[in-house]
Amino acid sequence: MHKDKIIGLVSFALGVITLIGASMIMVAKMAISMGDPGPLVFPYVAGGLLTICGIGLFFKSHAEEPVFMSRQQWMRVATLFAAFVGYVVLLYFFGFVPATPVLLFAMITMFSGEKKISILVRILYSVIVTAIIFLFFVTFLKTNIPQGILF
Amino acid sequence: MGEYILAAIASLASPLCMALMFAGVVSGIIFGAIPGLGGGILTVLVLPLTYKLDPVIAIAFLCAIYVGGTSGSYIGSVLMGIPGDVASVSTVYDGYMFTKKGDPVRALSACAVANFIGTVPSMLVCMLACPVISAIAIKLGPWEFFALSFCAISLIVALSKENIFKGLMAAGLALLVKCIGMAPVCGTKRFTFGSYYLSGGIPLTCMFLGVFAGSTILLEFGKNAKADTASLVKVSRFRWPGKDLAANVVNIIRSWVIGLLIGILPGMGSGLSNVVAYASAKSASKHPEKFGKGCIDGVIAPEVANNASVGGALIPFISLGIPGDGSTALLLGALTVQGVITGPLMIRNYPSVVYMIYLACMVGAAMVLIFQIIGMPIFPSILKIPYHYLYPIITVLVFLGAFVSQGNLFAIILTLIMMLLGVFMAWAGLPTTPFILTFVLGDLLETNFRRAMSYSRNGLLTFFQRPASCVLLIVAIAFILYNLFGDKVKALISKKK
Repeated sequence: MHKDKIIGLVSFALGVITLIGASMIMVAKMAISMGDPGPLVFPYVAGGLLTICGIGLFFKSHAEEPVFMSRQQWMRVATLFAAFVGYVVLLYFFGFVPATPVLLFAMITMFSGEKKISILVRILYSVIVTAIIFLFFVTFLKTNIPQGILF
Repeated sequence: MGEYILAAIASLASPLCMALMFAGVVSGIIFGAIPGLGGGILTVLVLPLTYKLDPVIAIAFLCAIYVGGTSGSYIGSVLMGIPGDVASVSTVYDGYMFTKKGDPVRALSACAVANFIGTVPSMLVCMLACPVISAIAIKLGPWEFFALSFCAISLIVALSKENIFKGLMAAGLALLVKCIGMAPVCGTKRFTFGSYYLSGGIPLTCMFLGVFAGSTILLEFGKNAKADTASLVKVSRFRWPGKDLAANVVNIIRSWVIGLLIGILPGMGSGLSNVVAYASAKSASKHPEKFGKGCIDGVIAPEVANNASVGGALIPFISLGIPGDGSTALLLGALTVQGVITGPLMIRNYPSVVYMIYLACMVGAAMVLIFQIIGMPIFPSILKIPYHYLYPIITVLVFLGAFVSQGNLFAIILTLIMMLLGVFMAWAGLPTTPFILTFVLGDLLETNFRRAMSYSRNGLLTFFQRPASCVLLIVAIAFILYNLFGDKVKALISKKK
């Protein structure tokens, strides 16, 4: 199936789900003034727009398009996203200071690819960058950073 | 007016503000120069960092990034033949030819000065035009504001000419995301699934950080498409392009006017103005055959135009609260985060912020010029910054920025989800500008629509009974219909003939 047809189906499905979801929203009539169309209008507009676009995209004639990314490239995206999810888990349990060097080390290893960067440089980079960001946010900006539930 | 300018100058002159502006300009140029990044991503990244700053200083910092990002995009165009941003697409045609001929300094020097020439006068026009437009806009009602926002979104959607359904779908997605949380006017909870965190809606910072910065990193890693910098030439010191400028006075004025006017139109900022200015310069030239072979006229025209769009795009943004392009939409988001309510009352309610925008853009342009004059020999090094050192830092800033903006881990999870949305949009070929603009204008659109309906005696008909609202709505609908059916109608007419 052509990619635009798939996008059309996704848009249509999302539109229909939005329309159904909008119809289930509870509205307190007391909160709506006379003449006001209420809070459901825009969810219906969004749902309707997505549904119409879905139909339009599905039935529109489609020209051949170059492949966006190969399977191998999608795997790379999925791997990096998994690393991000892992980072969020580490942030939740251990907080910013232990979790960030791990992500930085993993990312520099992933992004450097065939370029060989010594393990010492990668460790130093991860630790130093974490320290700089920590000092900048905590000392200079005086903001909170993720603490972690275990520490 | 004078007192606000003096106050803005006083704020600008503070060491912290100057240091931040210089940092903003330099980092804006670096991000603008690197293909795949752009100044917009930097604006998004630093947004959470500005929470702790005084709003006026934060705005100066963000404006410096905006000007630096728009200006820096030519570096990649001239040195690698790959524009750092859409603002310098046309600069590639002739700029890169100078590099191939072994004289990149001539093109780079011309670009540096052209950027300054483009920005400063456009800001002066913006400074004069905004109070006048605002004074008129104050008299407008919710009908006109709804029509104005609707028209802005429609014009941008209509730009997705190759597939208008995708433009509409991007707008629909943004509207859907915007519907999450409490509805304006009445506070009804929509699509919150009982979550306390979602009742406030999807935070602007999480959306921007995920859809733009986060998804860019994911896709750049997936494509592994680091530009080849091995063949970068050496660049010597800046050379004053006096002769080139003197020979291009008409070209500069024409390109500047094109840039300013296109900048004013919603969604058509520097990305379009540089292309139109290049085409106009070529068609008006006495030697069009030299274009594309290393003609300095073809370098100056797009670089004047893209920076003239900076002032142009700020006119509807400051006077009406309607952003002129994607970058100003990000700036509008940043102002909202700082607690500034944009719209025609912005000049009256936040004069210090408004005058700071004018001055910061002008001072930023001067800083850009100085940095480019002094730092020209290091331009190739900017393009050689290893991605494996840069992207991990950006990633950490994305996550930390999301956390800082909301103070909870749920914001980071939302950012992750927004990253997936960004990847989906890139895969589906959905244009980002209608998405940003609809998201930013979503509240304005809904609030004004509902208010207008509440105040109306004739319901929807009132929108067409008020002249300004009627004209804007007709323009918006005509644009959409023309793009949907224009080609078919043309084909039908030519068949009949």
